[in-house]
Amino acid sequence: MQHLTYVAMLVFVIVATLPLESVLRVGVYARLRRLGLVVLCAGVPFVVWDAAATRAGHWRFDTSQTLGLVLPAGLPLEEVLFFVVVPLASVMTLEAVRSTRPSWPVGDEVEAPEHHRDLP
Amino acid sequence: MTHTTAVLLGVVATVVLDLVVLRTRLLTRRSFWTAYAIVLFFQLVTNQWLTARGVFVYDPDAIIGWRIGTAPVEDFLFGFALVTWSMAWWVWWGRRGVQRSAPRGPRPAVVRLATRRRRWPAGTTSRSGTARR
Repeated sequence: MQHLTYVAMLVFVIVATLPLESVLRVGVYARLRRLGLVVLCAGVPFVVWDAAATRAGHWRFDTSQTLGLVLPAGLPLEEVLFFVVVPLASVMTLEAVRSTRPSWPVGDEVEAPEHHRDLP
Repeated sequence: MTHTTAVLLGVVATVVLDLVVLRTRLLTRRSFWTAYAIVLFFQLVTNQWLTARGVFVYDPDAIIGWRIGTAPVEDFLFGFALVTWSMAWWVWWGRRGVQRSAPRGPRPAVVRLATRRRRWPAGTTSRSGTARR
């Protein structure tokens, strides 16, 4: 069971946020292209940071508590998935706040008043 | 560079990304701080789970040594940066028109039931005598 310690945390986050998709209709799983771009723009730089810090010896992983698959970056599989799961949960939480408080702007509203392009 | 220095730079980079680069200005929004507070609560729980069991083992020389539970304080700044980056890029891509709004599909029956509107019309006084909020 010990090797499931890390993956259990990831599963917990996914399971805990999943009901938001249907109950609050956050529609994040329904917008996989936009989610994929978030993972690319936010997840990837943090994986690079994480791999660099691991290589620099800031921390190490107890691989007896992971599934045992270590990726070429020197990170356990779970650690890389962390940077998919956390952006997903973050975005779902933001959309959940929007669902329950529609009058609070998030910034991507069609009529967002502060959205204007400056000339180059 | 220590982990402490790295996370402080990460926080600065996050503020610059949100306010200057993407101009999503999430850090000025109530919606963001509400969502962040919710995420922070879950980070306290999950980070405690991982650090108490020693899934991450930190080099004492790389961190300042302040801890919240068993988690180094640096982890919370790292989390703040990751969460804010994620939300800022989500908003930015939405602004650019990438799947700005969720497709409106049929709602599952159980959800319709759970979120059903009250029977009396909005604006009228409810049975308990309180005016509409």
